[in-house]
Amino acid sequence: MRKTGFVVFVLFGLACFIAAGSLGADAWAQNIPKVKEFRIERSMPKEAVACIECHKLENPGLFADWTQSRHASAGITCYDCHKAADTDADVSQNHFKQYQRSDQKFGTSEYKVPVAAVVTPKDCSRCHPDEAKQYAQSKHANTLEIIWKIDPWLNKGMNSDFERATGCFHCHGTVLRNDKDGNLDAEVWPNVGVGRLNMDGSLGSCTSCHTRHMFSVMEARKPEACGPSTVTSTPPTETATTGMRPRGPGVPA
Amino acid sequence: MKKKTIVAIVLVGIGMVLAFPLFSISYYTMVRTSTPQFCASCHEIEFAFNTWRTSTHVNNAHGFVADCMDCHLPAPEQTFQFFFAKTFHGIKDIVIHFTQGPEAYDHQKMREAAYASFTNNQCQKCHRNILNIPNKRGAMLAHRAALYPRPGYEKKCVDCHRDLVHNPSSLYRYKQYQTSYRGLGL
Repeated sequence: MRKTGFVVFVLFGLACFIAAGSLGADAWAQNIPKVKEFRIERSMPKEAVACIECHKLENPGLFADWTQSRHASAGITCYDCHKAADTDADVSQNHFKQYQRSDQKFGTSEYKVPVAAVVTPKDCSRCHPDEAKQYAQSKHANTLEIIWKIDPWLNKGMNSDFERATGCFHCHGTVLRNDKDGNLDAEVWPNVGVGRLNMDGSLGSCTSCHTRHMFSVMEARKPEACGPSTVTSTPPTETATTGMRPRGPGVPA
Repeated sequence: MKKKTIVAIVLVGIGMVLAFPLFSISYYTMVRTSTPQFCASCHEIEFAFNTWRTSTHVNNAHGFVADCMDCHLPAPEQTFQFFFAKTFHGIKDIVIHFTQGPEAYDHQKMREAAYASFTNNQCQKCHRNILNIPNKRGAMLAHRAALYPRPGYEKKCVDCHRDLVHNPSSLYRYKQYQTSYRGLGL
């Protein structure tokens, strides 16, 4: 057994040597990604460290995205965006229970802070006031009001709730509300519609284009980012009223 | 030692033992009940708290934050007036909440009542350097007229400056991003 292990090791080493020689140092470096390790080297409040340490285990994908973001690089934590006040309509009551967990080092009241699941343009405006202000004045932000003003399918009840949820509100945005248990109502959340009416009164969702939790500027600038509603599909009602066909990449002419 | 001296020392000692916790408790209570978060623990005040949070009295380039108390109560240096006003308003709010209910709270009426109660001294606790304004001479002259009024022409700060803080907003309104401020005038 030991001998076999040794032989395998030698063979592997030989293979590596040959591969490195034939590929050249640059290509070799590309193919073996550097093992990344997340270290907290920025100053941040202990409550934010608690968010990170717990959600690292609870939502590893979400955490991994965030670690690659500019926000993470700049030391902008979960708490900076998800911060809420006890008086906010959208503050998560259930999240408070996380601070009573005994199985988690950070599940104690020492780290207790009010947070909201939905990060609205108002929250973003704490650091990006110009962008939020411009967005608030845009057609995107006010699109929910616009469709209710002009669309006969909505106003005359000519489509079903499912059609509305998938065909209208998926892109134009829902009206957020809590259900009777104090959670966000599953009928309207998750949603990143550009004109979403948030519980703090702000309109829209920055994450429509700046997808969470990487918030990649590069991604937001690509035409595909506009895809879900603007390029690849025309709303069904528009198709019906104007005779236009869905157009864009992937749709046969 | 004389008997009188011993009695005096004992009395002073008893006084200190009684007074220390009493002062500590009242000081602690005052600190705990002086935060905006505490004010917002009453449902009636949530609107004021939420609008204050987005206002320029919180969000500005100086990092300065004016709390509820800074505007709505006499200065803590005026110890007696401060304690009296704070205690009186606290008790009054609780009594009215339980006797008339939160529906009785008329925001517009209370806004006007607040403007009526503001004295110029309260604003001037922070806004002390308002007599020389190199880029706005109109404001400078208006301030001089308000601070050194001719008899019969007394004015209040809030006559010109109102609707500053408690306005609903869907954004945080940083002062440095607002257009140059101008008082509403008379």
